[in-house]
Amino acid sequence: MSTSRLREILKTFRRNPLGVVGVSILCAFLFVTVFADVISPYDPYERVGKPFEKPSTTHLLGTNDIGQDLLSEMIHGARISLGLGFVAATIAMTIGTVVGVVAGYAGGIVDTILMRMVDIVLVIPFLPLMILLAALLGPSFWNLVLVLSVIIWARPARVIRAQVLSLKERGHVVAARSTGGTVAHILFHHVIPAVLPLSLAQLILATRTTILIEASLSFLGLGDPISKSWGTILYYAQARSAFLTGAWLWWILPPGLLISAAVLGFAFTGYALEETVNPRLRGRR
Amino acid sequence: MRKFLLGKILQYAIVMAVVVSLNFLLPRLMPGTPIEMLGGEGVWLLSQAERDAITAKHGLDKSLGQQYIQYLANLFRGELGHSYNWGQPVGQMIAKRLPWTLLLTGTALILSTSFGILLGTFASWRRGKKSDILSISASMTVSSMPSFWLGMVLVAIFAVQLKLLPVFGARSPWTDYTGFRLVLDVLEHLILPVTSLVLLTLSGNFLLMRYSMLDVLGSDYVFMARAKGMTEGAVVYRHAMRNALLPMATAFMLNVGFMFSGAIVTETVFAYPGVGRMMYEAALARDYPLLQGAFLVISITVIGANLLSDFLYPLLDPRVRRPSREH
Amino acid sequence: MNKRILVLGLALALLITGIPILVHAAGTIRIAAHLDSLNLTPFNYVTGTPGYRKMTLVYDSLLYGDADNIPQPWLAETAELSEDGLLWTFVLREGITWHDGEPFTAYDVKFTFEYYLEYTGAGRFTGPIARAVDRVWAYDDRTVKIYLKQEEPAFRFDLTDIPILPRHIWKDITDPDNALDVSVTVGTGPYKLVEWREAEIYRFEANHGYFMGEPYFDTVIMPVILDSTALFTALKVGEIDAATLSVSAELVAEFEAVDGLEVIAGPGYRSLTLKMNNGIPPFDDVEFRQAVAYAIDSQDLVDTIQLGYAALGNMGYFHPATPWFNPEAEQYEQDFAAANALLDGLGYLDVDGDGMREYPDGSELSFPILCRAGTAQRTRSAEIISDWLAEVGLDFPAQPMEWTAQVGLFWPDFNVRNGRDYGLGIWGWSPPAMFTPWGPIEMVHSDPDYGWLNIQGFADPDMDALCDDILATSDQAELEILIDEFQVLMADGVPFVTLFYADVIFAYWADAHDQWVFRKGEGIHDKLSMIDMEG
Repeated sequence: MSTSRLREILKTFRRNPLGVVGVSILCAFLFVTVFADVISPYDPYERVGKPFEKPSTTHLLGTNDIGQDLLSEMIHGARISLGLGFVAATIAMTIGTVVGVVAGYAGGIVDTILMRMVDIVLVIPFLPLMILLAALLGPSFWNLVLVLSVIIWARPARVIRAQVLSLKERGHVVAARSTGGTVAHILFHHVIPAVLPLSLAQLILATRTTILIEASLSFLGLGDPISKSWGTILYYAQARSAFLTGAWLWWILPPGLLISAAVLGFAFTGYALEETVNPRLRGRR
Repeated sequence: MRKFLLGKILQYAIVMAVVVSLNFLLPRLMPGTPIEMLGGEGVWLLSQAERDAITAKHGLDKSLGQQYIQYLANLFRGELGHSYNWGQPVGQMIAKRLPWTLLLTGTALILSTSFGILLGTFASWRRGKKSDILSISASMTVSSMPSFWLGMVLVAIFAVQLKLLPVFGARSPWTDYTGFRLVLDVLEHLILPVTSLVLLTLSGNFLLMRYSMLDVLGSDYVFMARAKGMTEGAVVYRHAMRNALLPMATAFMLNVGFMFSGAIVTETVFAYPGVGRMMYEAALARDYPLLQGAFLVISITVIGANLLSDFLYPLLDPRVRRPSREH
Repeated sequence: MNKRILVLGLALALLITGIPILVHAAGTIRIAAHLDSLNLTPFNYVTGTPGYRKMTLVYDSLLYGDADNIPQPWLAETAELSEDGLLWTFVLREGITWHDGEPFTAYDVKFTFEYYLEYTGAGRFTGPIARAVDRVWAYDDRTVKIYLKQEEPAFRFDLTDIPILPRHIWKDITDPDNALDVSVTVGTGPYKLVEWREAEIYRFEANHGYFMGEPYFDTVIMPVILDSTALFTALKVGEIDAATLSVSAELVAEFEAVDGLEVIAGPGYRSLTLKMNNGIPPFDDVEFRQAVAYAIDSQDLVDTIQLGYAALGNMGYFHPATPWFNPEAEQYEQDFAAANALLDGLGYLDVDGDGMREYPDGSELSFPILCRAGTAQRTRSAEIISDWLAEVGLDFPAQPMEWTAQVGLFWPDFNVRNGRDYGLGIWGWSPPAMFTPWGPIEMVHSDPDYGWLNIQGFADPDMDALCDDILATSDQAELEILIDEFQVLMADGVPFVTLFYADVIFAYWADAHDQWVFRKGEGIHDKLSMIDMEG
């Protein structure tokens, strides 16, 4: 991708208010994730107080059911939740991009088969299958990643295929093909660079989905109860009745808000980016 | 056209086959036997003979192929097996829970679609203005919340703190209400779960309606109507909105599926006695026949809704031959 | 337009204000059940809490455990065991009728035992009967004799457990597992089951003139509330009067602060233990197991996980509230120095300097602490114990897993003969293991015929010999001495570490009922709480 195109994308993107808000939110979370050890007042894995302490100056959001500092847990939770979401989304995205590019470029029977697979995955109900899989596979970080990515790749694959189809007819690609460029050359020099921005937008949107689903599964008791994701914090809050005591104000409300904020950041950024880089959407807003 | 529809039917048939086979295969690939799930920690009360009886009862002493054939045969007869926990036929249990899920998702669907249409029309009319951007961000904010969390917060505020609405369930279980009182009781219990489902799906409907309104408003004949000097209100409501409603019809069907899946979490949080909650309970108890039965029923509903929307779309909108179904 | 808004507003107001019309009718109690238990027949009630005690509201047994779990005459007015310990003779109380008005006779008792024998495998009562009972005679309407195959000291406890069936109902039922209609549920108990809507509600009515005391309530309503949060919320706001689910420790203060809501806590016999695979290194060495025991602070676990609402684990297994508890057994208070000294002495040293010990041959030493996912109490215990073990240089991280998967590793096919495949993990035993003095023998005897719960593969000839002595003893005084000795040996051998026994805690509205009887190890939801035995 040329720098001028990149500059153009940036320029269009900056004019989109939602995109700016989204990126700001994401930057804030990135900061927290990178500097979690510095920012958080305590080691989230250490039992630093009594169980079920209310918020105080020593523990701003109180302590959890075994006396770990809740604020520190939530700060470190950003790492796990965003990290897991991002890893799963990246895997899904890689599959999606490969399938989309191959299907779109190869066309014919390959395209038909791949797209029928996409259709199948798209139609299978999401959450029920996740619950079934999570219940069967058992709780662990990588099982969750696996389950999430297996299901999410389909939508991006379809979007990217559409993009590749339109690219195939564009001047420079047609030119490269007619001058006898190898398939690999065309794919790596013309097609893939051109779909990457779109992949990125899809990646960001997929991350939003994975974060939400991870939270739901963890909350339902189907996640990994040892890793301190936001969903896990909510699971223990629920399991230890935070809901019935005043504790929901500092144990349930903040992690939920964090999840919402992160999801919103990804959603805003993703939509804005999609509108910027997807020629099919541009100008229709 | 006919070829297209036949292709669709074939595609959905494959999807069903995949779901049905997954449903059979997945639990059998996992470690453990039903005995462990059946007895929990109290299983040591069972003798070896009793355990063998259980294994035979569930047909687990047969080969995988035989089991699959048996499974398919049972499925065609509508037999989903017996729940490990309850000992009752899964089909019956689901049938008892289904009406509640239908009530919940149906109500939410109608409300969510109606509000989506109204708000979307309004926003498109105010396109680019502050209220437009505000409503977009607001709806996206609400739909960014984890559904279980939104439900919990609603309960915490309206049921536990303010004591305005009932905490759980679909109706007050120890009452003998009839007639109007019963309807009222059911409605009271419906308010919070419906609200949370509506809030979660509203943004999709709203954005879609707004988008398709903009599409229509930018088209030639609306331009013509304006040129003829029609009032803006008349243009929006009489001409644009009607045409913009077409995609909403398909979205409605797709939402059926979405709601059905989403009801799992919502029903769980509100302890609403529907199929979704049953699936969750079955997952926690590792009651595989029940879990699979619920999965199958939900899947069939979702897939059916998708199929219907694929058929509806070309019927409703003659401009489109091949719908792209991105939701 | 305005009018329409007004009407809408009114309707909404009606919806919102017209809510808690939950009249507390006199003579009615509302006890939420946290699980459905089908139609409560002995074949179909769902095992465990609350199904069993709900079932015993309807059904009676020949004997019934009192609040201390000591068997007392119930349907039987007298119960005598012959000198040789083989022949039980029961004389039944007079004038008892079934809920449908049919008279209760000795022939019902005879029929019951024979029915259970015929349908071995149906329900859970058939096992002990098939094992112990040779023949049953009904001498006349009121006298029954049961002849045992061999001496069975534990059969006295089985008799408190086995519900007696009405012959006129069950003689025609050939598939007891599928007799799921309420009309089948006929007993002699203090309450009749009149309505059951699956996963929704049970409604009982008093069996007035009950032979052991008048029922306190005309109607008992048991809504089924599966969600614990919903259940406790309903209890807190007074929508229900009591609940069968034990209150979590963190809610006690919350509930006590509510005016009129009472909380009662007592010993629970469910244990939480840290199992170690005694058959493989390093756990095959008793000193290594002792080192693990020294690393653990059970008191801290009790205070953290249960907020103090638990009894400290006895390394001799018996709960301190049982009559068999021996306080003399070694309890291994947390002592990192002692643990380190033992581990150093065994040659488990940190040779590669990563802060964690290796095997004496220098290879890496690491095992996950397996625990059941989905139970906060267990995952948290594993996490905390893992931290302590890290303090003494043992790399044993917590690892939650599916329950079925854990069973598969710890207790393949529930048969200890199949061996085991784990290092260590959190495991619990349900209360019945504590009801008799013979229970824990099943966990440590190396012969699978006796030690069929010996899932850690503990094998010690001295222990086996002692267990054999206990099993052969019918003399009460001698038995007590041997049981004391058993606990000392158990604590020294550390087959596993008993962490704690969570208390059972119940909350109830005192204005609805305040005559609750607390059954040791189990709680207040019992037929003893529901009838006036004094009056």
